Amino acid sequence: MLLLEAQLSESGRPILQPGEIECQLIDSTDIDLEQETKPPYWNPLLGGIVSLTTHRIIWIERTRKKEPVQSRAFAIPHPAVHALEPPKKGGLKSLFGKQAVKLRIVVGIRKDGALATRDAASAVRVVMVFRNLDSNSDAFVTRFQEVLEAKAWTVIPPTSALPGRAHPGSEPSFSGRQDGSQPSRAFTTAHAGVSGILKREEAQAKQADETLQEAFGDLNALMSKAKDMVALAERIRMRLAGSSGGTGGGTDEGEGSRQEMQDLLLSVGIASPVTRENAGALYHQQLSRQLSDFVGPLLVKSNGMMALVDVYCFFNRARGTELISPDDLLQACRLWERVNAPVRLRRFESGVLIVQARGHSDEAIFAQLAQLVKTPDGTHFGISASDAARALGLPPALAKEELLAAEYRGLLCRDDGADGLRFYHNFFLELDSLQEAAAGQQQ
Amino acid sequence: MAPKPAFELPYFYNYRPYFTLQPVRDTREKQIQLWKELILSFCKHYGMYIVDVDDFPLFANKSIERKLTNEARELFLNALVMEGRAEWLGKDHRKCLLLWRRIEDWADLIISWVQENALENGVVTLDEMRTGDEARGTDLENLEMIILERAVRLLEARGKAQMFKGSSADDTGVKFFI
Amino acid sequence: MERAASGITRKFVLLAIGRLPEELGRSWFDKCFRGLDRPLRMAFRRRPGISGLQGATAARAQYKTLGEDVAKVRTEQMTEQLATFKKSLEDFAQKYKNDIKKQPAFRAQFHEMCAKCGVDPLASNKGFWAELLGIGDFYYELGVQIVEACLATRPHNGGLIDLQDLRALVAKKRRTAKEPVTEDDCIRAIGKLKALGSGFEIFTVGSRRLVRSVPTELNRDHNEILEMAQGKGFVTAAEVQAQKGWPPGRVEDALETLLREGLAMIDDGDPDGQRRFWFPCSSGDGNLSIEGQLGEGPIR
Repeated sequence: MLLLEAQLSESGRPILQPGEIECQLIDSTDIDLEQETKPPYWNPLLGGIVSLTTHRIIWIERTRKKEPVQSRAFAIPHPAVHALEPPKKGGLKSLFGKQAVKLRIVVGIRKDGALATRDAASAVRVVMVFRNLDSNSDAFVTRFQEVLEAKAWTVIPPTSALPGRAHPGSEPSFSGRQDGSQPSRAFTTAHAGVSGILKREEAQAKQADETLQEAFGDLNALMSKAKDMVALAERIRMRLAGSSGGTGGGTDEGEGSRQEMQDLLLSVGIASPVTRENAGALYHQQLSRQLSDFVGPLLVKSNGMMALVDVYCFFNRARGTELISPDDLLQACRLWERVNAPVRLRRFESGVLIVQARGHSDEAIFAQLAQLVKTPDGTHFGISASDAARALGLPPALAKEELLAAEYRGLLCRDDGADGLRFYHNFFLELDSLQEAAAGQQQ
Repeated sequence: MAPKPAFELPYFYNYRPYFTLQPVRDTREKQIQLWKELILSFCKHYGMYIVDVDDFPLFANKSIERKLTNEARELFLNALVMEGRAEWLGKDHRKCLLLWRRIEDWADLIISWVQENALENGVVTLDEMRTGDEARGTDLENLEMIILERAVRLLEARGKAQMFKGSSADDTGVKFFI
Repeated sequence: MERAASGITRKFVLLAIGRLPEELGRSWFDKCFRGLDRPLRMAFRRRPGISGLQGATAARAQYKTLGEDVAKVRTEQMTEQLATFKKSLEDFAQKYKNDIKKQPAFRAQFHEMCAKCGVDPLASNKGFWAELLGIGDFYYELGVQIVEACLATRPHNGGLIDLQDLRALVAKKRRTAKEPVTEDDCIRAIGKLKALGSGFEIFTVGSRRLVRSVPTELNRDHNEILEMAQGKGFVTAAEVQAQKGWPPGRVEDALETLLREGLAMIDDGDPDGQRRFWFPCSSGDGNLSIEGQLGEGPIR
């Protein structure tokens, strides 16, 4: 096989190398060889999702089923790419409407026909066909070019989490332009009189002021355009919501345009809530799988549950860059239900959201708590959230939620005294059953 | 001994409520933890081994006009005792021996010291170990005798040392078998 | 060309317009299609004769259902308009990206205006705004730092912290970052954190804004006591009773709850013998060193 096999996780996501970051996704894409006679082992890869990362381009087989089946995945490492031949615009065929866009990738191969990341003997042309006519293949190609130029695979990944932010031209520039110029304040009072400095500062402040004026003007102009667009987006969104389930929504085309609309809306800053009818943006679907993989091992360490807020922090710290927003996280978690993910989102009465392993039940925790309240200390002093936290291996906030849930279930009762909120074995339960038994006997 | 750099007091030390025993259990547990850590690090920093309950500098903070009650002081020190980081000297609980380094760790330290100073199979007095030339500049300098003796006894039990009682306590000698 | 056919054909052709090359000649087409209205004529001008008619028939066949057609056109419309807007945004970003990062006032204004338009630039990192202006990461990272700072100070303040203190804490942590952080930025980041359901909330007490990071609910009485404590950082039961005119039981209840929730601590050491209730979240004058609150510990 010409392409390298890529490892996928249980939920169908590519397993990334250290320092490898996913940059862009595009669906409905074929990969084929562009030559007259193709080698016997070659089978074209059709209709998959392509993931562009800082290190590779990965084609992932798309399964239609809900259950993530072990899909195949293949990759071309960027070092093997000699050149990109971007798709040609126009042409006679395009008179008949949109055509699938083709990107040709020249890759080096060794004498035995395998991919060569260096010292290539010769080259072949791989062609990537973007079949989804509504996808932004231009952006994908541009990004591909950028990533190739960046050569991120030659850099050793940093060990620290969120790295110190470095931006091009990030020195404060009083002109306020992103021109990377160094600040002009590179002198001391020895070089100019104090009054000189003051005047310079004044001038710079004034310039900043004027710049700001202009900036606000431009901002206003931009916003009025934004308003129009938002209105249009809203109308279309409502129409789409109305048409779901109708004749328009049943067909593949309807499905495709709805999906596309989600993506468009998201890009504009109008998040469509995930409902039973729609799966939201492609981005969130992918993120959902990624998160499921990420959270799994974390849950094992934290006794089966973790506050969503903590997931947000851990995930973003692990990412380091191109972070996800809280809304992204929430949307992605909501999608877990639809794909039978091994983890789920759960809401406590208090509104606290947690992530839990799907098989996890409260019963085991309740059993632990029930035991805890029957110990000598537990009987005399009851248990607080901190006590429960220690015993259950959970943070106090979550331990408290479990205590409240156990109380709701009738297993514990509370004492809100001077010593704080403490929970005891629910004596009243036994009292009730005693009373019932007595009542039964009387009959 | 060279003057030590100033000890940086933690944020809670200047917050008045921490000088009152908190009634809410959770809050009190955190309070105890903070004080335990403070007492240990303070003593370690200044090489103090005995806390005089009535006279320990940390227990009163002039700048905020607060001091710990006797009950609080005993509570915090008791917490250290429970953890094996301190021992009461005497039933009246007025003095407390601080083990900011555990006896086992002192024992290990002594072994290293013996090796560094080529005192294997040699004999020194306990007094020399804490005030002699080889002690200067090391952690053993001015080590509280009670602790030193305990550590050496531990080494004895391990077969690494043998103590000889001299005519007075100061003369007690040790031979190391390392 | 009859009306009906031309209507459908027109749409089909308009769709294809953007992709037609300019090279095809004009005159022959003008002759054939002079009778048609201008846009349609312009469209047909670019088609070779026979296949032009074939194109129309094909179009008719292709777009049987007008409904589908309409949906597709709306999508096209949207895409075009988006492309235009995106270009405007790109130009704006090119010019002002650095300003948004460096000038908090401008940034705050930007956010306000987005809110008025019904646009949430921080909704997703996949949005135009985040991508082009690069502000997503700034806020999401800030969110992480805020969560961490709240967690680190919770043992001390019970999950309630003054916004000013929080900002200072976070700014200190960001020593290496070159972008200043304002209270407004914190407010935006916290606004996003709310969705994560751990009780993140900003509310005003008196003249200060407090950030809550636990799901504890405070009632009016509690808030009023917190307000009273602002400035000196504590209250006594007697003061509350005198100022509010509440019965002692009510005062006791409120103070007790605040103690239990870890939002208050008692102080019995004052020479005047009155018990004081201190509120870490109300000590806005920073009588606590910041390093300590980060839990780094100046010791060791």
